[in-house]
Amino acid sequence: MKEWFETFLALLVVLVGAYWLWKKAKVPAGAAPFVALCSGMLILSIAGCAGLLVPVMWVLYAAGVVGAVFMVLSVRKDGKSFFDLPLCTFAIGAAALLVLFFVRNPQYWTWDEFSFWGTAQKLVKESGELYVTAEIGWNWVPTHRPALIMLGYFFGFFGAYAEWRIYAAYAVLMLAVVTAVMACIKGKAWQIQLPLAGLAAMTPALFTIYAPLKLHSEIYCSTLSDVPMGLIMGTALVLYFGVARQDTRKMWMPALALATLCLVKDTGFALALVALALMAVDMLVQWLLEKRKQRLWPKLVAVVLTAIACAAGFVMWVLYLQSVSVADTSNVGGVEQMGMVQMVLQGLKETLVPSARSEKFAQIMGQMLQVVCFQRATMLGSGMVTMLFVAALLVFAAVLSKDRANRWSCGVYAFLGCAGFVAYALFIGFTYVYVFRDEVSANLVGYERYLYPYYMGFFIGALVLLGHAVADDAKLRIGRLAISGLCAVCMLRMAQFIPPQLTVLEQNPTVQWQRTEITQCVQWATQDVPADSRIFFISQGDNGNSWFMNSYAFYPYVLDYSFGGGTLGLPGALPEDTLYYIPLTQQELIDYLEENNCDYVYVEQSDPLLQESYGSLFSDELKGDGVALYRLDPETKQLQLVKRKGIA
Amino acid sequence: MKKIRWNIPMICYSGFVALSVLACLVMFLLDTVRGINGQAPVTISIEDCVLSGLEQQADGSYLVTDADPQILLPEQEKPFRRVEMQMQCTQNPGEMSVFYLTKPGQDYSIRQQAWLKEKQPGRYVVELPWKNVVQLRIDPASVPGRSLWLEDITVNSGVPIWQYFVPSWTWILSAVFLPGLAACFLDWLLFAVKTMQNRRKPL
Repeated sequence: MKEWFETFLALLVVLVGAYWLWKKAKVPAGAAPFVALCSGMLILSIAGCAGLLVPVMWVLYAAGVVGAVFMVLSVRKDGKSFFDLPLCTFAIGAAALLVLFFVRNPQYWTWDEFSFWGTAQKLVKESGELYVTAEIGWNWVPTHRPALIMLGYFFGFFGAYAEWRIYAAYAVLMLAVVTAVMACIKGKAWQIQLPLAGLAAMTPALFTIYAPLKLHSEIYCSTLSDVPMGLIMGTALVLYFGVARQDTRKMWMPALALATLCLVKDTGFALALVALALMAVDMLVQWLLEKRKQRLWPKLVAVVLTAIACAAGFVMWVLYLQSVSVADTSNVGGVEQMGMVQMVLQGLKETLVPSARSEKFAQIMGQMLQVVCFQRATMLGSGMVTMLFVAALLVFAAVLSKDRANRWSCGVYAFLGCAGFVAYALFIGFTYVYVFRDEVSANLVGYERYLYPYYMGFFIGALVLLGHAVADDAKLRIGRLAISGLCAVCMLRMAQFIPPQLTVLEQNPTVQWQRTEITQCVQWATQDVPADSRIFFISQGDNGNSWFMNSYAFYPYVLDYSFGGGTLGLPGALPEDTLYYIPLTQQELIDYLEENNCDYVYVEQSDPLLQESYGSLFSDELKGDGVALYRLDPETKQLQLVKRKGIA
Repeated sequence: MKKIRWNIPMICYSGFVALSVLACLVMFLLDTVRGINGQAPVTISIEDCVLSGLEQQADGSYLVTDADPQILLPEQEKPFRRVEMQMQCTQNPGEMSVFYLTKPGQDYSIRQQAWLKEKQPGRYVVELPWKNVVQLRIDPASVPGRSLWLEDITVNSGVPIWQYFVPSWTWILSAVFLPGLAACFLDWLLFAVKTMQNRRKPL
């Protein structure tokens, strides 16, 4: 329960920040939590790069406490209008989400959560510094951007580290997106806010699930960055169409969101540029519609400053990595080792000049076209169908709208949004050609994950334009019926695809039994083991998954890279091309342990091959069931059994 | 006392809660009348169940021999509402779940699934949804090589009345969205009726 209150404290600080943003900076009340969260993520990312993460966190919480005192005094005077429907939805909904995640206690589930997104949260919490410099047995430097990690750290700052607190933080961000949509619609009629809020809330599921679920799903319960990227991109557009379009001085709100997006993941920069381009063109169109009555230069300055903010975030991270790590950030990495600009130019050349195309380029881009057009990617259908659906919604909004500015915005957004999708999909295609390994690019593995942030961002931005159009339609209110109908249809679709028992809502308490078992074994193994020990990991038959999960569970103990997990055996024991086979002589194994300062060996899973190959190195010849911990005797070069977790 | 101003959303949300409470009361009364709420609990021996993927050992334990062991309970006169099972395992048995059928001859599916919850060490309970559950299959483990000690299974041992009114998270989520959406439709309907009436009024 203490953990819950510690997490709730973070939520209170967000609400206090939202209040002062509403009062002093005139941010719509329902959008203020989102702006507050983005501000926090940005500030903490900068602080982390400057090596001041913990002091700045204390400053934020202290400011929250002081702000709360003044808020109580201020609300009584003139602050009651802060508590409108969107803000109350956020406050109550966020508290309920904290209760849900506390009760359900979900744990990390997917490979990428262990290979970075979840483990980074633990690294930051345990070390108080950015994860780039943390000591962990990975064979690479974690170079992903820190914004979402900072979000989790903020909500988990006080008290013990717990995975549910990270999930709750992400869920609060998603709810902030929903209430931002509600708050930015013209007119504030609940009949329009509620269905659009429902559509915004369903966005992560609608655009990432394309077949009825058969297994436990991490939907709404994931630390990966793809869904938050799409939602942040969409909310930047919401803030533009809902607030900044009418008043260029408010452009700092979408700029803040886009700068945050650039610090979520590297592809966030591409999404931010597309979103900014959409805003810039819309500004130009609005200026022309007003017959140039207003000055253009403030709008140009706003766009340039936003671009600078995005670039600054991007460059800041590159400079930080160069200063603290050996990671080569001068290129996008991968098989071709190209710089980003070089990759884009080469890709454009091969796209536009057929004679310059390599076979690999033609094959991969042809496949990309095929899957985007015809392969089911969302609950609505293929990527192309999804984009056309959203464009159709915008056309409907354009027809419905009485406001000329809104009509033009709908049309421009629909056309350029689709064009932007083509550009973005091309960019993703280039990464498959020039960055990913052949076995990944041959099947476009995971392509849908890179595209659905765009679908989500495009859709969320469209919701506000749709809301404006529906608000204009006061005579027949067909728009209200239409969006309510759309919300109902989407809910039915969700119910068809997603049984609640396969989600965090009603999840099976035993579905994460493997994590529970690993955690118990690691806690048992590390009892009485010195804190600075380095541990070599053996789990025969592992494909790397078990290594990652154990690496996470062992931290702050360092689990050696141990060849990334696999099956150890003497050379020739298995065919050379056996997947995950690690051929090592006994001497090579001992040499590796010594060179890498491994004090202990943790055997999670043994097998006859391991016993035959290395049994003589172990004091008990690896006989016995259950996990075992051995200590390397530096003099005898023998692995002495420390303890075995037997079966009672 | 300040008079409450009723509006459409308030009516819809209050109505949803009231209907839910009424439904829970009806479920409790029907279960009591039909004798499936503790009036006649049934004890089923493991030997009377059809086992799959479980091999009885000399010491009385059951060895899990594949990744999908199953205990199929014999059909009962009355629907299954609550099932309690005593089970011990020296190691983590893995993923546990319960599949049910509401008609004979159906296929088991993920949509008709419930979870065993460990109320006390070794004592597992599953509360089934308020449906005509005629057949039940318990999947007690998912890891081959583990040993389970299984005891008799008790069916319909009784649920206190207050438990009928405990909302699930799915109900809470539905309570947030469904009445709101219904209010939107109702609001539009009233607006449409009023508009048509205004058009018919003589000038």
